[in-house]
Amino acid sequence: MVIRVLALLLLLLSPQDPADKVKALVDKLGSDEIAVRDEAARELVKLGPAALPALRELLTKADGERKPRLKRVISRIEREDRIAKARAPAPRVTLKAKGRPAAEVFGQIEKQTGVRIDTSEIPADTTVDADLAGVSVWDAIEAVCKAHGKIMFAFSPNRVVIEAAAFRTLPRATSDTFFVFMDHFFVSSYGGGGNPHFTARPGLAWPPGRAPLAYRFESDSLVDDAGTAYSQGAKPAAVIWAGGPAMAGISGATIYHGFSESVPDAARTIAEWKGRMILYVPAGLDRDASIEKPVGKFGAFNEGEESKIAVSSSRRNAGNIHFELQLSLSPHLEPEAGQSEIRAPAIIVLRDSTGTLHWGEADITPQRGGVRRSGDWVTRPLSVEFEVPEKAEIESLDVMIPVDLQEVVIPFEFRDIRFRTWK
Amino acid sequence: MKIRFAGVALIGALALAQEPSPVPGLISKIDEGKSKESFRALMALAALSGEHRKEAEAAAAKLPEFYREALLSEFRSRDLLKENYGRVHRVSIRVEDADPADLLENMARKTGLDLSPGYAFRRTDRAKLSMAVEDVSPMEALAEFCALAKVQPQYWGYGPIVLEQLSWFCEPFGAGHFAVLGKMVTVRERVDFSAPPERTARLEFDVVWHPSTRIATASKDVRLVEALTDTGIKLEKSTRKLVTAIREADRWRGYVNRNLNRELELYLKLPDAGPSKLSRLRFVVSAMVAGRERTFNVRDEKDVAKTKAGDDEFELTMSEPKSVEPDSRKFECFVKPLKMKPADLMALPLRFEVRYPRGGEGRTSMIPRLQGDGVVYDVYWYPLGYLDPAGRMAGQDPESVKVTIPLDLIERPVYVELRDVPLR
Repeated sequence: MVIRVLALLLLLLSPQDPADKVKALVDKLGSDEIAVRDEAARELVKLGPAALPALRELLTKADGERKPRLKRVISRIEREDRIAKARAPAPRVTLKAKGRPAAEVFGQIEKQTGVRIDTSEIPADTTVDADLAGVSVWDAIEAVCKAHGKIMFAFSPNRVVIEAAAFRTLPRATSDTFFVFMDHFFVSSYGGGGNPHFTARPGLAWPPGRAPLAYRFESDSLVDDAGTAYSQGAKPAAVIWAGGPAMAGISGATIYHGFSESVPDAARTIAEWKGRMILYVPAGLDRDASIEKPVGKFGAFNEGEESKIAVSSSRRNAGNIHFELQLSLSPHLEPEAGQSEIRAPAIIVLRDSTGTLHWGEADITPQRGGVRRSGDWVTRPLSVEFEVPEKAEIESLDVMIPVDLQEVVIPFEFRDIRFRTWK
Repeated sequence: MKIRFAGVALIGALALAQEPSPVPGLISKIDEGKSKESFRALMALAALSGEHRKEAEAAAAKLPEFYREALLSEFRSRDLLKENYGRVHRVSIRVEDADPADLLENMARKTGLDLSPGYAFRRTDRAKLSMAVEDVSPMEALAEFCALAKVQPQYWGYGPIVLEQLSWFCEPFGAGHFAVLGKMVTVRERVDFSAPPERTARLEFDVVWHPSTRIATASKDVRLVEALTDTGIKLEKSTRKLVTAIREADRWRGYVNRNLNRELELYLKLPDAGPSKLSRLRFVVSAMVAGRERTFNVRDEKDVAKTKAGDDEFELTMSEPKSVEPDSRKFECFVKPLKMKPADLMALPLRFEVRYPRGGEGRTSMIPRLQGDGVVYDVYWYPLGYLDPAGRMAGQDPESVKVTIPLDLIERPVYVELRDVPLR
């Protein structure tokens, strides 16, 4: 008890200059007293991501027991930073415009948020209004389209496309970060006298650089106005990779979700539809196999603890770098049952000389297959495209293994959706 | 000598004059209540030439509108396409209580079509079939066989047409060079929040054509002529665009080795309730015939290292093939058009034919994308049946790659009539 009080006193009496404070706390990580070490670690974590550059610098000089302890502190700050970023609100927009060209207004929104918006499909003379004060990028895009009335947004894998189509209000889930919506659904019966069934297609978009690895769509209660309660059948949740092994985009294709019970002839409206979309966000990413200076290195290969990577070919054009790769992963990282498992085994990134990670867009889906299992490895071919500034110096091509998947739960509640207009 | 020649000519002319015209007989067989007989007669009329054709054209005025249009359209196609119209081949098959596999073999032999039995024919308890068709086209015989054996033709861009026991909702249609087979009907209400829900029936068909027609592709969308329900209501085509806010990367363009079929789709607007059946469905398929084609061997038997080909209209460059999956290989072919825009080239149904050193062709598919002043085609194929000593797919590289660019696409309308089409 006396020691703990003394340790706290020591901390309180520490120098107040931030750099000195960090250094003093790192020194205390080498203390023989557990209480002093723990308290110093807690204080360092509290400093947050702002302290990371200094901590990384000190890590290069740390020795003995101080080094692994400091590494753990850095990992914890990085992890909490990733979780905070995943849960942070989507980028905000503040903008006033009256009768301005749509390309200009959406260009402003793009500039403020980093979400790419394509206006090439609407007439060049389209003008729009905007009166936005600190709203999310999704609300901003929706509000501008709604105010115009004859334009509508659509999510492509890497941008929002503005279309010349009547605006429609899509049922949305409650999220300040992600855009989760009901795109459409069917009441279908197939030939041969089948009964009609519901099939729903939700949609999903995320702020740039914050792609979830997977999603799960769960429906708690779907009830029609005739009192029929619907369930999602034997497999209540369906999951696919949203981003796959590389996730540069802003939206992911979701699958159709079917419901078991027949829709009676008397039903006209979905009275209540409650549930949630669960997104799986990586809080921890471990760098594993890595190839230094990978551009133009044909046949380059590196093996990590849980992955191997080989470059079959690469080419760099202005603004983008394309790689053909063979990625091998340890079998325990691989989903056993294809798309029914929530696992994204690896993410491929390019690291430039400033330490910035560039996330790529891969031409692979679980449905397409191409996975070869042999011995201790599961191998798949990958075509990955990276958008990288022309002058960026590429230091390495890294396989990042997600080690800590965090769930972000987004509830939804839709009411009174008319699906039959006739009597 | 002159007298003898004149005599022979006179006898010949008299013989011709005395030959009864087939036109009135064929016209009399055309009856709105008898679809199969009517189309058989229409195709026979369309094959007439000279004075008989003129007579048939004049008689067409008396035909019901749909049949008249079908006949005149067939005449136009013959005139326009000439040798590209396709071979006119007739067959007769008469068998009783035959094993379906034997009947299929018999039919393949007589029609010249590359037909193969699928899993449906492996059942030991398969029923014996009797089939009798007289002087019909190969595709008409194929439709008749599919109706009898309750099978669907499947074609994957290579090898034979495989007959499989798949979903099947109405009796197949066969006439001239075409067969149309119903695959699936879905009645649905779609809610996309763009407008009040609309109740529709989605009908999916496959059109299969004779290999001699040089058809490069067909439009998935069909022109509806009539959809008449069993209660006498005429249904309209649904023209409402399906709306979505999710755009997926949809670049897969299907199989391209040889085109012999195309999936068709028709949306019908339905009333609030019912109907259960269409008594008659008439539509027109728009098939496209390549009037002029450019063919390039970017790789051939004599020079397997060859990677370039071209002429005054196109320059082609092929990359080295590489493995992309355990049983799939890929190469890229860059095609630079010298006299058209790359986007116009991308709209054309190019054909990549891949052959292996030990013979045989592979199932091929491609994904085109614009790049600079040309189009890059990612061509994938699956080598057939070649295993290495370890029992794995050998993944052989092609001995030859032939690229055909169809130009001057000419429309060939295909008139289709189906009866008793169930809607639920």
